[in-house]
Amino acid sequence: MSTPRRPQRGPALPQHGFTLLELLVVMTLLAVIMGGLVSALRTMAQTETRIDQRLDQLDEARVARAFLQQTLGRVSAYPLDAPGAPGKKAIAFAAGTNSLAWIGIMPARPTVGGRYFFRLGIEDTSDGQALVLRFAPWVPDAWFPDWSTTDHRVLIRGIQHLTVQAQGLAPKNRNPLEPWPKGWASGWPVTDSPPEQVRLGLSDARGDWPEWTFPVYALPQSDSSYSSVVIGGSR
Amino acid sequence: MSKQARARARGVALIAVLWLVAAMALVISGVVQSVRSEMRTIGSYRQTVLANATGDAAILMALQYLHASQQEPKNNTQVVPVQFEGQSYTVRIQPLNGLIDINHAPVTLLAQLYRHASGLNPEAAQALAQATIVARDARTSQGFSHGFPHGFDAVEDLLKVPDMSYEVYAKLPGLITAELKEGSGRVNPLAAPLGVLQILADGNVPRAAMLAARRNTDPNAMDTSFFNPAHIETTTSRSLRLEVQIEPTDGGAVRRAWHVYWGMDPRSGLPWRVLSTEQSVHVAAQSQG
Repeated sequence: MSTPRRPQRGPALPQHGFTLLELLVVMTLLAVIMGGLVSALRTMAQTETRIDQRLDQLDEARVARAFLQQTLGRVSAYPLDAPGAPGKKAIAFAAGTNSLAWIGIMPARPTVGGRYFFRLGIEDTSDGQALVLRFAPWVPDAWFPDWSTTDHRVLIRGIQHLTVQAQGLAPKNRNPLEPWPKGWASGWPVTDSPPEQVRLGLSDARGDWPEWTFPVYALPQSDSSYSSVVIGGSR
Repeated sequence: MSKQARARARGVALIAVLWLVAAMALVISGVVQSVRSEMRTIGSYRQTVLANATGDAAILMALQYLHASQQEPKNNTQVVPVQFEGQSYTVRIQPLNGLIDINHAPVTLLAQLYRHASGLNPEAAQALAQATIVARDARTSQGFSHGFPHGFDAVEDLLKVPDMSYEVYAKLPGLITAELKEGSGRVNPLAAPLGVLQILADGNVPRAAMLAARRNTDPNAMDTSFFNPAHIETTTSRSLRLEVQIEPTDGGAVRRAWHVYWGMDPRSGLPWRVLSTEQSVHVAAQSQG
């Protein structure tokens, strides 16, 4: 009787294990592939977040634009006593190069509506810089309020610069010796008459936005330039 | 490696690949979804902008037509057909004195307005009408704006009247105006929408509907004897509302309206001045009285 045969070693052996070198190569390859995949997934997730952020910003921009069109389109232009210049009349429409303040009509909703003081400008918020609208209810015998204490809403996040330009023709009956801006002016230097159009330039970290141009119409009750005969009215 | 073990290893690799593909597909489909919904929003926004521009063009053409035909504004609602880029539109020109002028209306008319439009009881309506008069006639004796009656610059200013709630106010737009410069406080029934006729008829809805139907067929046949003579006049008005409805292809309708004053613009020299503009989007076409 022969002794039972031992399982044969030799050529069959490599089928039951890997050498250290093989394992190292496999692990390195796997690590490279996984790394690539993870970074690809992360990039895609980041892209999605960025796209969402951009779309949110566009949404905010559309809402802000419609709101500004509505409130800038109806401006209260009563000639008031100018602050600091007794005897001189001015309207409450103040366009600086980087901010815009006016009396407009707040769209009606429960508890608010009607004439409001508005101010548009860039402010620092907890999320960085943003286009912020400040507003306060109109008070009959007041000039613009102290803006730091008023209610405010962030219109568009991420906006870093705002430029305000305005233009309008001079009324025909205006004294030609008084200065009047020609074409688009930075801000609005005329104190007793509103411009006909306002143009806002916004820019964020990616660059300049297309400019927004809004027509400005003075509300007829507040505008003294209507030459109609008043019948039975109190004004 | 045995055949079985190799197959198992392939199975694991397949599952891993499938998982990764599924994860990427989820992320991609999320991105595609949000971009696609944005495209739809932008598409409808674009259509609205185009419809508004078309509406502006139609309204300007109607204004030019009025000027070219040397017509003074009429005292009833006029319809002007215009052609623009091969399409025809109808522009309704409605004198604004067909609405209730909140800056000049007498207290009795305001009380009827609050009673029949907002559904207040007679006492509450009368009290609110009184409060409205007090608020609009108030003057400031000092400060930057002294000497001016506060008045109402816009219909939304009614919300500044004490005791005026949003529920009462919300039923009024479309019936009232604050844009009449030459206001007598009376309403022109020839230009009044059905809602205003109901108020003038002191809440008599069937009679108002009958009068409106008769007026719409022939403005001269309007019987005004039923109204309080202190509330009506059939004069013309220089303040007009021009309205046109544009129907883009997606079934909705964009209504564009300009309020203009028929008098020379002291700046541009045009024979009209724009008081304000309005746009509204309607899901289905609606008719006005």
